[in-house]
Amino acid sequence: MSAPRKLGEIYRESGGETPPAALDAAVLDAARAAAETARARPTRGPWHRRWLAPAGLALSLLLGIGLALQIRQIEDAEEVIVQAGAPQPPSAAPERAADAAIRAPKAESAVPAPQPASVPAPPPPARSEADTVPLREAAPARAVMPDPLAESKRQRDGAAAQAPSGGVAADAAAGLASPRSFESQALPAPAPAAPSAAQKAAERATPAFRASAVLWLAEIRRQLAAGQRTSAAEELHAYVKVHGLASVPEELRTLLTP
Amino acid sequence: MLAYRAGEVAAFAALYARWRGPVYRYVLRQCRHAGQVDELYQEVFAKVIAAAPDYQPTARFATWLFRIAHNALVDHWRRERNVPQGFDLADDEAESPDAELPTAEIDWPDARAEQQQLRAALLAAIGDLPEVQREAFLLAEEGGLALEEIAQVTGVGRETVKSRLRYALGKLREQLRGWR
Repeated sequence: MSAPRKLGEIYRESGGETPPAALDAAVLDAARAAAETARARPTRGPWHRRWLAPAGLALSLLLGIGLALQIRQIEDAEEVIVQAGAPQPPSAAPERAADAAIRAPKAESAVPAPQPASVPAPPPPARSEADTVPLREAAPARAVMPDPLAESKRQRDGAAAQAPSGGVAADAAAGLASPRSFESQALPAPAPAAPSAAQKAAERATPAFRASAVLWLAEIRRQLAAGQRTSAAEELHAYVKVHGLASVPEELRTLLTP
Repeated sequence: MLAYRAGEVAAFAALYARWRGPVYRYVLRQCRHAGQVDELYQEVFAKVIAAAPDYQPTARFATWLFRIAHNALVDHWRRERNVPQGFDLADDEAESPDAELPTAEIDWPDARAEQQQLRAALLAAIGDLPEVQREAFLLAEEGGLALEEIAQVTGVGRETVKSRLRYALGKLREQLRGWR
């Protein structure tokens, strides 16, 4: 750029204007003030550090809300099952069996196993595995986590058990209704007076078992179909004490008449 | 500038001493209202001070400084609603890359009195240049910027800068023809 340099030489000689001293002082004062302000201000970190705390807070809130919603959904679902006693889909039995099989060792470790002598008689040949396993295995497994709704029922059952009664049906009712679902299994209890019936009833007196009236009625029907009318009647009496007469189907009500 | 960013006011003072004249003359020759020169000049350095915490030495300091001055000038014109022709256009006078800048071999007068008059005539001729051409000339002369740097400052292509500079030099030569 030889031409601009030539012209530039003349240009540089021509001007030389500079800002007034007052302007210089104003600019330098502003620079000094800005430097002092910056020194007084805490050092700003990179943008990701500045956003770290708000982002962490937002994430925690999000997780908390998600967790709360999840817990509420689970509670609602359990409440619906308990209150409505909705019939379970056909596939529920195998699933419950598998679930119980997985949880059984854990439950056994937490809950003392019943005495071998008190184990009820083996099921009749007509019983299928799908019928029996969920009912018997799910009970101790569920006993590890007591249900609040079942707890109130248990108290109700406890009152029923204290009422004076006699006969086999009363014993079964007492066994079913006695508050041994969770607490009595968690603590080693003295041997029951009527081991087989009481133990059997105790197994069924768990929150999970009582929560499902449908399953209980199915068990009664199964016993009836197997010709165990007395046992079915006992079960039905116990069922009525827990769930009331209104939910007993018509075809089973004949069992309640002596 | 990095030292000033770290809090050294003396570093800014040194920088300011080096660039106060060029920036002042750039603003002085580009601003149409003499009464607003000081205000605009102060605004330029206020922006420099404000931008100091985020300053990154990605380009030559002069390029960064005159970019701020250029933007302040354009903002000023926008506030005045009087942006000169060519400042809102990009690559308006682009020409072929092969075009060379004119060589201004002029026999300048040797006499002191005549030289004085010549300088005054040159300043007048610079004042008569269109703003974009005058800016290219001033950035080259006051800022010592190369074509690419002027292109960065003004936001146009290198060839446009070259063209503007070529036109500016041609017109200055034309204006100073009587002094040969």
